[in-house]
Amino acid sequence: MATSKSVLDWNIIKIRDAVRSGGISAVEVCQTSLDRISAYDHIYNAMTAVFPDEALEQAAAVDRLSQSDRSDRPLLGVPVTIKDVICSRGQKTTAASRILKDFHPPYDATVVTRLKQAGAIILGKTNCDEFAMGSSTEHSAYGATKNPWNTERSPGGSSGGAAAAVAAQFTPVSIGTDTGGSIRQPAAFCGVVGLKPTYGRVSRYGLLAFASSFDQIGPLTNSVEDSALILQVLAGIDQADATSVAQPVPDYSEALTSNIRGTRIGVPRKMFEHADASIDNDILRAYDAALDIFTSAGAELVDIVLPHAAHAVPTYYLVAPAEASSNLARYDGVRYGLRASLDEADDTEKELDAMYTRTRNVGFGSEVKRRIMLGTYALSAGYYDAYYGKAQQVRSLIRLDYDNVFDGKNNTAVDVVAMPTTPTAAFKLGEHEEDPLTMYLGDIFTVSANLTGLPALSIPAGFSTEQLPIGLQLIGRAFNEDFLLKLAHVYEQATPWHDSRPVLEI
Amino acid sequence: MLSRSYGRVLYMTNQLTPDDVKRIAELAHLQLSDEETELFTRQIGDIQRYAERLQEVDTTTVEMNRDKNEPVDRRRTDQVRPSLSREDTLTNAPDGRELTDEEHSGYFRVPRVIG
Repeated sequence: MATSKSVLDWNIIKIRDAVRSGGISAVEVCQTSLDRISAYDHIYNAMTAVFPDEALEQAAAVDRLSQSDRSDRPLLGVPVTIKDVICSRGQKTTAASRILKDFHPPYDATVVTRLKQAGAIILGKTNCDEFAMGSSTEHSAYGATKNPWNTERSPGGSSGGAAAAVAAQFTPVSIGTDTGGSIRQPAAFCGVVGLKPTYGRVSRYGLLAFASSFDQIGPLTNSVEDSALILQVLAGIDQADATSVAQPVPDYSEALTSNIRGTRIGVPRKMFEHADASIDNDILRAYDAALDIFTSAGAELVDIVLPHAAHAVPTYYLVAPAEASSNLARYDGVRYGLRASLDEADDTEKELDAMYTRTRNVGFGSEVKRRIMLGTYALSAGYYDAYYGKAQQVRSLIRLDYDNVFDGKNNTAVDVVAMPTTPTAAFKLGEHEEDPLTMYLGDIFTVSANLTGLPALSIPAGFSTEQLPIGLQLIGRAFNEDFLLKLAHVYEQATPWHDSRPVLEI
Repeated sequence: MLSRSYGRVLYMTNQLTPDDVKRIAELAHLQLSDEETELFTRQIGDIQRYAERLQEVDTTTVEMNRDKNEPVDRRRTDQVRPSLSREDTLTNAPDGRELTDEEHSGYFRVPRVIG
């Protein structure tokens, strides 16, 4: 466990201010972070690549900045790790897949550019499920990441390396991506704060696409305050991403006031009774306790019904794989990544086709193949209407469910919907190996925010009887991240959970 | 926005077969081993059966992926802007590192297409 004197126990503002005033050098912060990674990552496997030389060089450059440049940079000297699906120029980025082995992106993702401009130091890439497909970080070409709270447990996924890196205090922030819960579920499993912004809030230029109508980039941090600071840097329109939105970016830190009196919180209790949810008692207990905190702070609970909530998982698992099957068609051994060699038996007339197929066979892992297959099937002639078409219609209905609770007439409207992030705490590594469907069902509370594009946040909300972290999820109106952060901040101030740290193994 | 109705679709009662799985694999440029074919027939079949419940939802009058926000037309001026250089683009070509500039002549090299 880090001693309380460690700079890695500090929040982002404290690190930044100390670097700004010269109290500590960016190089020293960076080295502390790198040392911690090399001391512990052999156990947790949260990192797919670490760039010590470049990071220290970046840090030294920060230390040389003029006083006025220093005060302009909101993340001055703050060490950051990035999920292995986000490109940074010249730094190995593989989506935890063999098919992108040795891929060195020729450009920075917009979020990376923004972080660097803000003075942050990029230390390395974090482990994830291959192409962000999975909820356990077991489907990685680099092997599974282990949960810092219990090494027999999964850190969740797909941003499991990111969540583990923050929980183990490698870096105070890690940037993840969320297509069906991939920021929020690992945040819940590892006891950290995870924010999926509204679809369009953060540019995805430079993100290796999984499902383009769902994917969104967001921060994992130790506190809501830190999330607000990071979102401030990431958010905004980008000419390089036509799906990013020109919506004004509010001051997220300023939004963290304590008054939530009169806030109407939607409680979709009927959803928890659904058989698929098979929700643990520990989770319900933590959820009810969290609602009590909000009511003590002056919020009002409103029972709501989301009639199509039970259909969110099948809808997601038809549409997202369909988009994935199309997005991943680009990995064919021609322009980047792996190219499988041909063998004598290959038909010489069809060498190119054989190369495509062989490359994809060797390059993709089983979960990615399964989803490409499922998506191809959902889009194929004869099945398109029944699967893809039907699922996209149900998606509209799920969206309408949320429109109705947020815009409700006759004073029934709520400001936010609260539900558990996950039906259980972290499951055991290998638990879902044989039966992927049981793992998919665990996404029941997270996928709706991706199907609808709405912002959602997971915050630490206690521990299970097995001492595993539990998450509380808040889902808000589109572009209402400031409100979600405020509510989460009030909760955080009233509870001790976000200050709990796992005792790391050596 | 285009309004299409898929409201009344018959249940897909037919069981997914290994041959179906092989056909899908071919469409996806994947070549599965017998073991994988068997595994995926079972697993994708499970998922397919699970997803059947969507057929119960009445969607007669529902558009696909309807969003209450109108899509924004994002046009930009037709201006030349910097983009990746040919050199940068080719650095990740699978055999790019072994080839000299002259050998790849600024193109991606692929196996022969015509016999």
